[in-house]
Amino acid sequence: MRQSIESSLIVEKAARQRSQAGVESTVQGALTPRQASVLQMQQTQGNAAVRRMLAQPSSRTANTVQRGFWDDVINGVSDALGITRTVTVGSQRVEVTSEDEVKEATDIIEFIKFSYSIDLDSGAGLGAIKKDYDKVPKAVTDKLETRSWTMKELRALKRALGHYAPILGLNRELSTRAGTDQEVTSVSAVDQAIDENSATGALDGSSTKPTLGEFFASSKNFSLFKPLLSSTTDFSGPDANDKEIEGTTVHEIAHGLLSYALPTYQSKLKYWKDANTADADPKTRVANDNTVEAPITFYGGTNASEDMSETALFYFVEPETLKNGKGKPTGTPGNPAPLRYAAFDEIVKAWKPEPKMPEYNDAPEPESDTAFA
Amino acid sequence: MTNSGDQLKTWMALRDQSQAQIQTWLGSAARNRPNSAYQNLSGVTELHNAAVHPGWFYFTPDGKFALLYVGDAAALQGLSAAALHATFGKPADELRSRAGKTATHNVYPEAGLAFTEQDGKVALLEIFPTTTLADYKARIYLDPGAFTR
Repeated sequence: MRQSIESSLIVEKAARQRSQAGVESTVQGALTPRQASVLQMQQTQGNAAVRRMLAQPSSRTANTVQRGFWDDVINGVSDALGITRTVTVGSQRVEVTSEDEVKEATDIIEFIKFSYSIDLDSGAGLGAIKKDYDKVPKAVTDKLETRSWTMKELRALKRALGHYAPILGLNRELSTRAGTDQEVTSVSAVDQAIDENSATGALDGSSTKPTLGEFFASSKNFSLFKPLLSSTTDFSGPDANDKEIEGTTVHEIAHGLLSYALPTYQSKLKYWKDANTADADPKTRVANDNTVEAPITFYGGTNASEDMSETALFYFVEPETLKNGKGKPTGTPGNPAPLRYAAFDEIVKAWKPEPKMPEYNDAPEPESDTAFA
Repeated sequence: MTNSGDQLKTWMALRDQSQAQIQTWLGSAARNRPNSAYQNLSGVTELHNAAVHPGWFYFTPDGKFALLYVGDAAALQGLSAAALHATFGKPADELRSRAGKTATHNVYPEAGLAFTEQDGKVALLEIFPTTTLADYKARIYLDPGAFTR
């Protein structure tokens, strides 16, 4: 009896919501991500920046949740029972347990698109893998599959991208990276990766060391793989997996957005002979000179690019670990890495242009309705 | 023969030099590290002086040439992976490379050459006395391990 009353309430609620929202899943009474972005831009950068932002075409309709009346009824019942279901937001499948999560997923996907100019597009990941793994038999690449996003993954993705906000989307044009095309434009959720680009290349999802994430420069894409959703390689505690997802995302983005900074980063560290060879024992990756700082992880000793991406991971997600190390002595991977912290800090601080004093005659006329904050 | 081919030929000819000759050539400022290692090669003496040559030379304890490694991007700029493939043909094996997950380490043991190809470029180069694939894989090559991210 109680269940049938709950069901009719759900039916009423679904009908009301559809009528109010026109099927779109915006948060009633709250700002949409686009509105929030516009407001933030107006407050921090003034009207001219807002005008440029509004000139960008909106893809809001593409991100509308597609569903019918009876879907709403069924979803309401699922939510009441706490069952995970998969909804389609734009072109992406997302696992949710409530209507609030549907709204949150929609908002995150839109926010990432509008604020960072990055599309959640899992199909793009499949294309990127097939392009870069051109020696792998088609029978293997044909088995590649996209997967649904999870909510914890979307939240971690938003946090990770937030660390790079100054050089993403419209903000990039106000940074020292202005004028250079954004190196990352899509992110994908893919079931599993391929272990190597050769005729014996195979799907690695069931290997003991599966791929968690991968950046594909030729497609400006990075993909996150299913094993990441249960990995706790670098962190401990109840939020270890959340940090791992955020950290791996930060790591992959660094391969793309920060490849320009690699030569400078590498030149500041005596650990590297060149981009691919360490001045270290090749097996233990311990520096030949035990006063030379080693990478923050053993994996970072693979090559200088992995070193920088591992530094990025800890710089943003657990900076104290980067500074103080993981209990290893200097020269051993996991040692305190203050030089790496400083080198990366310099990269991040350099995103902000030096303030330029205007010439007397070039001083701009203030706009009467411009920034109020 | 192209300029890059000439350069490679010159580098490969250094295999015939003794440790003493290379040491003299590199000069007193050269780095000299006995009991060093390169990938799976251990107990070798490492000689290097970037002012004279971009490579890292390795010699066995009895002074025999073991390997010349070049990883300096500027020094490798003149070489193209396509030209090396055209010169040496199909590699005896394509192995994983520490340069990256999609990079390929091409091995030509009978020519005494191996190089990593990444995005069409030569990322690193190894020159060693001619040998068999099995010997190269057992004595020189070190698998970089899985690229997990």
